[in-house]
Amino acid sequence: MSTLPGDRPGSRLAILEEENRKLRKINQVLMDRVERDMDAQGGNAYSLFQTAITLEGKVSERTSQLTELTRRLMHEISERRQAEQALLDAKAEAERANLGKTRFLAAASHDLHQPLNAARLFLGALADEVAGERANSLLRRIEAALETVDVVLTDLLDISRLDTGAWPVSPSSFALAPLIQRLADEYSAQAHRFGLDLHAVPSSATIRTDRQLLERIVRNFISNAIRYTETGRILLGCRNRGAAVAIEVWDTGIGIPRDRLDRIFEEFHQLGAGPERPDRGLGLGLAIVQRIARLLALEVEVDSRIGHGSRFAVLVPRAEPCAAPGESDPGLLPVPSRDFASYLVLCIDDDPATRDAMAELLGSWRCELVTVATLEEALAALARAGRAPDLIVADYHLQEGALGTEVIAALHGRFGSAIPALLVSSNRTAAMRALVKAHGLSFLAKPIPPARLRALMSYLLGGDQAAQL
Amino acid sequence: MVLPPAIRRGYSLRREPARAVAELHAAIDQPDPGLIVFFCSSDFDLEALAAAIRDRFGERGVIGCTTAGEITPAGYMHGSITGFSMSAADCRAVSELIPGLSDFQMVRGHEASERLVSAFMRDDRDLNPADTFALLLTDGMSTNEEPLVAAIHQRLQSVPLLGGSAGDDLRLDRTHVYHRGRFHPDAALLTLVKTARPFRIFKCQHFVGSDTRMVVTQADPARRVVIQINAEPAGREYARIAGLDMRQLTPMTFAENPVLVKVGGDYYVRSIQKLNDDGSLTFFCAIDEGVVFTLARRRDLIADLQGNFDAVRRELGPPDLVIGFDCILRSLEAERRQVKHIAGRIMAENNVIGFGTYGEQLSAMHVNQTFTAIAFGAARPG
Repeated sequence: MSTLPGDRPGSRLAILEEENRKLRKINQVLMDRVERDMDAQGGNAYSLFQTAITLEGKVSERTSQLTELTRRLMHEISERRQAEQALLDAKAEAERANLGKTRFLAAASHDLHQPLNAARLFLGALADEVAGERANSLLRRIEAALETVDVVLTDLLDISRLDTGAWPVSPSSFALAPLIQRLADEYSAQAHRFGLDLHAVPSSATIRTDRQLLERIVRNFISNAIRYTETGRILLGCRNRGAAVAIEVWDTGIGIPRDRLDRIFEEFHQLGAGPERPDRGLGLGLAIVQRIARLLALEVEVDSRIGHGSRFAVLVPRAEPCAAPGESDPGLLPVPSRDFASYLVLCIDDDPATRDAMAELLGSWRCELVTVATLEEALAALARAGRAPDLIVADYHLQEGALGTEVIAALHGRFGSAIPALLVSSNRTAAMRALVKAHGLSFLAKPIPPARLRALMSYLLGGDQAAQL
Repeated sequence: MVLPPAIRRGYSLRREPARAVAELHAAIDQPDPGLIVFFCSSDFDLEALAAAIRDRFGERGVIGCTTAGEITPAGYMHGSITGFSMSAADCRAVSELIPGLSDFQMVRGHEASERLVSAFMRDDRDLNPADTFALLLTDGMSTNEEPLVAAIHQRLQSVPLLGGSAGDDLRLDRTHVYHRGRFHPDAALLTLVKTARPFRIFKCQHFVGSDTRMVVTQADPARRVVIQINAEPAGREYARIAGLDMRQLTPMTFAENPVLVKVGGDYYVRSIQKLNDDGSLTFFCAIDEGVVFTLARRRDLIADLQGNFDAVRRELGPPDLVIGFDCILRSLEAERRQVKHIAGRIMAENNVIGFGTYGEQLSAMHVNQTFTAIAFGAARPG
């Protein structure tokens, strides 16, 4: 037998015991470790490291779930984008169509205004020719009918412009009282003619909105109230409503059935009942009111009781009262009687019917007249006449893109800028008015009302008349 | 004028702080930087270096740390300063310093992360994990990386995080991070970066498990010291199992013979920092009693590195910049195997700016002996 040291029983025992001790120790720490891991309470650095890795596993699992979710969402989004694009295309198409409609209406309105203008001028000339009660009565009714056509055309054009949002809005702060007072004064006479009493309650409020468009709304309310009220009174008042002022028009008219309260704002919607009035219009008024209110972000209210009357109101935001200028009322020009004999009036218009009508009308006022279509013709005719014109009446849109303002400027350059000039156009936009103002010209919208033309001519031709105005 | 998105990289081998910073500044200066990052050797006079950086770059928008070796546009360097700048069109960044890391409490990590997130949101930036990442530069000697990244992760959640533990050229004494014009010891610096560029975060580790296992039977987890393995003094037992002589237990050997822990199906390296006089082993990362170590089998470092960069290039195209955190033990191994120049060339080819770390942080983990990096692709058009 060999006698290796390890073979000695004591030595081998010692080695085994040592080995046993180590294994017990290893076993002990592993059990502790397993317990700590099971416990999951261990907050030391190594546990955090372990947790971080487990976390990574969870995160990547969640990430793949999220990736799938994202992919599905992206797919849905792309489908939605396509649908959205289709909607946008449809909307663009509708907008193009709408714009087309507006252009058509504008063009139609312009083309209709031209002969209408001519007809009214002829009518003015005819009124100077004929005598007799019956003939004059007929003339007045024709004039009224043509006036209605004019109003309807203008309303239609306005509606289409409001629909396309092409209407310029210029809000300002202003005192409400002068506006209310002026409208009350203006409509009192009309109300009285129909046996109605119109009463206005003064207001000290200052408001902020587009003054002209607001006035349009209130005018509609008042004229509707007059139209649909047989007897009784109309009240124009204002009431504070929080941050707004309600401008209200009350009437004692026929009232509106509850089921039709919404429909009265639709185009061409009229209530069948009500007193017979010559100026019933075609029911475009409230359609315009609604569109203006939408444009100005104003609230319109209506309530009504059958047989008792209605209340229409528009709510306008209040403004600080300071720095709000009162309105200056341009008023209306009086119509002086005057003989225009020996005055040379140069009339430039590319529409032959308008030229003829103007010739008739101005001829009946004993003016000397040159009616032409272009600047060249005007210069030639004036050369033949051997004198400068006393008044220039020019249409704004002339042949081949020429503009009335240019023609007037050329004539002023040739004959001196003291010659009064009057621009006429069926374009009655604010832009047009601004342009006229910028050129320092007078303006009349077509169709030209003979009375206005006559008044304006008196003013322009006779400095002595100015004092009267 | 709108400047095109730009990334500039540079380095200097000058020993004199002012001249080194001047060279770096000349290389990476741009009119409207969104982020400037530098890594410098701990051999520099840090006071003088900080003064030079303040002088050249200003107080704000510059972050950095000390290293155990630098990865520069010319590859691996020692004793240098390297860095990069990204234009404001490329990225926006906010930073938060977390001081006093050696007595770190997780609640402080939560607070710092929350301050950082609210500062980030204040600038109208939304915290979107798709275009935002967190960059951590932390002291490599305060043995608290695990609770630090855990605390940050609890607040930043899905925002990807990567970083490195600062080094001091293997003196294992004191490391610094640089923030707002000063070097700070015992501190971490967390930066949230929102970038317009596509990016990818990746990790290279060339060790796999073997059949040889051992159990930590006694340890001081707070100091990362393993006192006993298999109920034997740790150093001796480790040497016996790895087939090494006790006299061979140097950083170079540790680099080639790390141990691994298996968690959640994957192996993670536990790098040994040093053999202590009492025969215990100090680690670069968390250990605990009862933990099972597996002796690592090494694969080819260069092939692994190249393979990872190939994968990045397939996904992003050639990267304009890679910020790389490269464990010091990796470059020690590469050096011993005389392949460090090849690794350095791969780094340079892929526009890596980085440094030799005492540990790498990825997501909520503090790991060792990896190359952990973020690669930035070309700026997206428009």
